[in-house]
Amino acid sequence: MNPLEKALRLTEHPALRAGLFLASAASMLAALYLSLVWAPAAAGETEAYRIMYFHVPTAIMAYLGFFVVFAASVGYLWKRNLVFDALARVGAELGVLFCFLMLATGMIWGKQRWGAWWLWEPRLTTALILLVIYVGYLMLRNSVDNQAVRARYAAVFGIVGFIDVPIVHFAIKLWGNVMHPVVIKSASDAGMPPEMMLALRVSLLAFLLTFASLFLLRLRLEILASTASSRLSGETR
Amino acid sequence: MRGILRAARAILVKDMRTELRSREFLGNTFMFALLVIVIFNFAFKINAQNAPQLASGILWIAFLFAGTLGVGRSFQAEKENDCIQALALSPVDRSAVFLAKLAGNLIFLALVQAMVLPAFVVLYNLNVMENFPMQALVFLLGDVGFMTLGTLVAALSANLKAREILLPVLLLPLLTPLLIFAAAATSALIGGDDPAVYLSRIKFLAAFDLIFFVVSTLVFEYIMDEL
Repeated sequence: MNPLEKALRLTEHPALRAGLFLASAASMLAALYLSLVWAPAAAGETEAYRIMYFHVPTAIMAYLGFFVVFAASVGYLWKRNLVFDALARVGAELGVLFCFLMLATGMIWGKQRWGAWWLWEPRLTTALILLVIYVGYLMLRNSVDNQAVRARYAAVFGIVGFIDVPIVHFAIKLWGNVMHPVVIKSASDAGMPPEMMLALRVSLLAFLLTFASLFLLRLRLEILASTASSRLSGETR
Repeated sequence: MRGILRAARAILVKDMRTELRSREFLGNTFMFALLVIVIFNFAFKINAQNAPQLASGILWIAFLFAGTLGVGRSFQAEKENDCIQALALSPVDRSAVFLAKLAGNLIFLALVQAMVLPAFVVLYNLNVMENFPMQALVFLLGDVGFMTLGTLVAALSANLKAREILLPVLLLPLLTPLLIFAAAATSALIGGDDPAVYLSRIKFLAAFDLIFFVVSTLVFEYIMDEL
């Protein structure tokens, strides 16, 4: 059995799928209740602050997706296994999705807090550049037909792009000024009441499970498409 | 190591010779960079007050645009005549090809800059090169970082269907930090800032160059195999 088929078998495992979907649905409902109803109002903030419970997890999911691209790209160049290529593509798609959600929720919050949809502020600007880099990554993938060539090119760009991420952030910090609310400064001193911390943690868990469910679904499709296209090109040869 | 450098020099000499014989691209690119500078003047209404603030940004944008055009050609010529196959078959390390293309692109960009800068100084009535050695260092470091990533992405996009548009779309976001560091250093030098300010920016540029030079040389062989 080739590695693609093995990975496909895993994504179709019924208990894993059902478990993940149920867990993500249940935790998302719990997160909605905890963050929108149960969590106390924040001192000096309007109720709009509650978007933070979704904004922070989407940001973490975006970076998680981009990290998956990097790790899978290294894996592909090392092992030449197309499963890694599928992982990288799915990571990039989910990263772009959550990066967009991070920007959207951030802009809604920003409009309320700063009175403007957009400020050229380091974290926002970094997120925007990241979005452009990874949309470029997906465009690069779409413009190569040959599977092996596409996997290699994408892996190279995935590695270079990810190494650029901290440098972009550092450069933009040098260039802009800091105005972003720093919600979590460190793990020990969160500067938040324990109820808020709990709501945020549950929301983070819900987003992680949702990320995993989407990842599994999308990975299955990607592997199916990749197997189909290699079979097709095998027949025409 | 010496073998790599010798092979790189041979490829570089070949590229220079073809460029010298066709002798069209350098002039075209210079005209393009000059046009960018002229058009910016219409967009911003440059005068004695705002010129020092805008100059470094306009200069680096002109270099980035012109350089992106130039770098796209470095693998295109090899592709057109299937010369890339011969390069791939030649018994030299892949990094020799990368070094040669990088050096060729650097020389190309430096020549364009050498032509654009005097025109810029005259047109904007602003002596950008007052602190010549330091400004030259900024240009050198900026060019190295730019062309390192530029050569890599040019190799990536040489095979693509929509390469003319994908090269800048892939390359420019990666270069944001470089543009920030380089424009900041150039503007600090124009403004006659404290040496500590521009020295720290020059250090960032050098770090950027080093990181991407190492990474690009390492990953280039994976692209070269599929060119």
